[in-house]
Amino acid sequence: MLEACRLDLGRSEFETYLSELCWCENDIIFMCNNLEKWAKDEKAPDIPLMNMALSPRIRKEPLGCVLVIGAYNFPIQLTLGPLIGAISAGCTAVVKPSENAPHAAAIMQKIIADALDPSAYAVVQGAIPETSKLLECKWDKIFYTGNATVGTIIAKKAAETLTPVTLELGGRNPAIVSASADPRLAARRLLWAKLLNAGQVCVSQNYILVDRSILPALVSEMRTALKEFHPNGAQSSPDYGRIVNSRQFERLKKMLDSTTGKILIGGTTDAANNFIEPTVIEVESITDPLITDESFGPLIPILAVADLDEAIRVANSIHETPLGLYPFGTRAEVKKVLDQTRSGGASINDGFFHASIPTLAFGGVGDSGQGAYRGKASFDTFTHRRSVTSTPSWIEGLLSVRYPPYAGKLAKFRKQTDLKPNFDRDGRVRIAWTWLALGLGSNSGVGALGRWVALLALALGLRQWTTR
Amino acid sequence: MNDLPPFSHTPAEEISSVHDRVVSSFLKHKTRTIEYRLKQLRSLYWGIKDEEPALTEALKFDLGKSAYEAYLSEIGWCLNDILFVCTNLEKWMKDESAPDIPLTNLLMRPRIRKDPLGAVLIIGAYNFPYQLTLGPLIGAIAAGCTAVIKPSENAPHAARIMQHIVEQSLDPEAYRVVQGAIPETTALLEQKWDKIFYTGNATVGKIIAKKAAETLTPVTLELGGRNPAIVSKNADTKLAARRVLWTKLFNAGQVCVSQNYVMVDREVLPAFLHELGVALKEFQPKGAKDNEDYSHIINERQWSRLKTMLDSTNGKIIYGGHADKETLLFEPTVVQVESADDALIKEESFGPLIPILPVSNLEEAIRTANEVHATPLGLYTFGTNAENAKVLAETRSGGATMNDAMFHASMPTLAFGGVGDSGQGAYRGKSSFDSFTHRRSVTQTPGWMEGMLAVRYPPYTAGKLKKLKQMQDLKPDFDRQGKVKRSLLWLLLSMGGKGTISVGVRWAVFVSLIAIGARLAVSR
Repeated sequence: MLEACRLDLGRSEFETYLSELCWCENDIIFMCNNLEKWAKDEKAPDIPLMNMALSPRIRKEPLGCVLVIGAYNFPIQLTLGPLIGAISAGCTAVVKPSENAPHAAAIMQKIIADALDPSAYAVVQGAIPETSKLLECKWDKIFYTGNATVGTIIAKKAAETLTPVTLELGGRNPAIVSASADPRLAARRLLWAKLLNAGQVCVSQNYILVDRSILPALVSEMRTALKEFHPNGAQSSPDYGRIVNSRQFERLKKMLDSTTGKILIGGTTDAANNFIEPTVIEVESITDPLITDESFGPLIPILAVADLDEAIRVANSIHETPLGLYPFGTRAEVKKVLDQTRSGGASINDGFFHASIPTLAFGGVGDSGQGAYRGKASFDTFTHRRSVTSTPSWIEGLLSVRYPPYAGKLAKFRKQTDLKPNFDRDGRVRIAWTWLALGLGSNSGVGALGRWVALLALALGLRQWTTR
Repeated sequence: MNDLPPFSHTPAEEISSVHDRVVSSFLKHKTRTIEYRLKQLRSLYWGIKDEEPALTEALKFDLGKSAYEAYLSEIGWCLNDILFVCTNLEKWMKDESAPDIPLTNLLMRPRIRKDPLGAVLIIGAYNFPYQLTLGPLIGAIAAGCTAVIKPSENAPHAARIMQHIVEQSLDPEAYRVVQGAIPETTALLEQKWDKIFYTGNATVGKIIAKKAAETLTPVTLELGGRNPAIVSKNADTKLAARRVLWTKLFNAGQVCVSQNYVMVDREVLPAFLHELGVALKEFQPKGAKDNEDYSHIINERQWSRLKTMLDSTNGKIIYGGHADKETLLFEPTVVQVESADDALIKEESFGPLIPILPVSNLEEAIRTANEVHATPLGLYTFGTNAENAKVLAETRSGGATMNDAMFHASMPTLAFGGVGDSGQGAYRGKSSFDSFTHRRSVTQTPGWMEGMLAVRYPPYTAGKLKKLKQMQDLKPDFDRQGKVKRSLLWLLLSMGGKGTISVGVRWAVFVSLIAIGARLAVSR
């Protein structure tokens, strides 16, 4: 697998180990440790006393037979990760690895054929024709990782048969660096997000909005960081990956060539081995292609903004629902950014850290994706939560209120079920003084108990002290 | 009711501006605070409460629904829902600490924010117009979304009174009603929403799903199914009959989740049919006609559809069969059918038709259920615990009730939804809030951590790889044959118990025994 990723992506052993092998191995162990717990029926929450006799519970049932379509940038993680969830949930599956990472696809096919039950888990290899053929079949769920264009095609096809989907897409993810941010940390961390896998990461920031006042500092720190990360330059660094193929290389080259911004760092490309240097560009406007398009590569456009409000406005106008969002600033600034934007997930004061915790649920929102996985969410995404109740025979007498004829039953029913509002006609909460006294001002039973114990301890202590 | 403006369709040219209004309202962020949401919810509560007579009257006009059913399944249902949501909203809105986070990552404070999805479209249905239109709206308000609701035009009086209540009680910048039928719904679907919540049939569900897919808009679809009931030879036929009949009298069987057909083991078929007759006499002593407690079919189109279904059966009518186009009456009608190919089984009646299919055993029932509809909305199994468990294990369905009909769908706080083509997503109780909420994973990386993070930056020295492996690698507790390995020390320490509680209990007992033994030894 290390060799395959080196061939397909020019990726270092370190990165492949971290983001693919160790990732999947740990995922499996985590699943195995928790599976028994997750598969159990859950007691349904919030059930009123009179309904408890019906033992309402949630069963965890496999959705059925699922299709998993992988991507090329982290071929192992993005193909086997969902498969691991499908297996734990009790589904059978067909896996379609990305043809753009052919060596990884081949090795995964071998592993699956050797390790898994061939009647339940199979691999289909191919490109558009084969994927179309797969989509003609009926699945109980389709899990797709990739871009929004193909995601839309899949969603529309799935809709024809009301097949549920999880879509892990991408976005024009913004990083927002306020005037109060530490430029050194912002530079190192945002660079990291664009060096890993040569920036071919769906969730890394697509562009950076930085307060005008610290733009020079940010760029200068990026220069410093790059010297530390690639002491002999990116092209000769064994740690820096390559673009997956010439088509993607050409796309990135074209993007770079079409910018009206100024290249501040990097800019070198080499078509012979799909090399693109980590390139920092100061762009002029929000209509620059480096901002409006998702690069999915090591392009680092920076746009100066006057203040946080402008940054938030720009971010929302470029993409309302990106996959990730990266605010750097004070607590108050970060809160404002999070409250006034939407995104699949967010890392505060860092590049995509939230997407590097293996057990933290990961997914998009709006057109950056639907559904989530990783950790327990992987099990959940292939599971149907089936609400079940059981009505005992002895309860038939109590149930009589539900059967017609209904004459005289409404009052009885209302007495049993009507809740009382704790607010008046102006929407103000009415204070129930007795409850307040009993609970000593606490909202919960446990809190009230705690307060009573504390009061008692205080009283005893006081007594001890006064009777010394 | 009479002083309200008549039910009329929203002019097409207004629809996009209604949409734009609620979208811009969301982007002003005023729905974010709990105060705003509670204010809307509480106002809606009083709005509904104050219009109880009009709400009841509207259902009488549209469905001939009794005041009892109107309160039970619509008015009281929504009122209680609002109170339940208000009581729990603060708790639900809080950030959740992310579960299962390894120690090294806890310093990043991983948590799940509950963000509103945005501006949403809710399309209601006609059979329980309030519950199915206002229910999702309550969830949307709670989640901090703005919304446009499109009540079903097939229940026009209900639509009218709902419009009045929404206009009186809710912030008009954030919550609007659009009335209409296909053209207006199509115009609504041309707009971009952050979520579409639809209750209705699979045909329209597909149209909506396909349209939503064009803009990658998430949907919740509450559809229906050819839901089976299975009565084994060990079932209590009296209880089964009463309970099965109940769901087909309720709203004259116009309930998406009630059983579409009943499979009964041949051995108990006569008893079951007899008990149906007994129950029918008890529930409708004077019959279905002019019965205040019994709804009529919603309109002529649906009535004719049911009549055609009944006329095309190859089965034998055991009870009922009388229907009247004038009054839209349709008697609860029990039909014994011969095969699963019968129209009454293959189609969803959504009415008071009760086809009974005799089966030889449980296996046949399960096989038939799966062939007729692999993923229905509900499933009802009457038998021993073991039989019911077998049925559940070998079928799929949105939800299921054992030894009863549609009970799981009558608990207001129990999550309710379909699977496969009977629906996507769920709501009610907390899941109403969840349905309109995006769970946004968030972490924060402190500045002082930069040293510890050094291992992630290039150059990737051999030392770093080694350190990384040490930090990250979990050890499998199983060998190459997949057998779990347990060390002797582990066995001793855990005393054979599994899980903290059982180990704790074993240690507690062990220590107590030691203490008692020691005491005895000392006192001798």
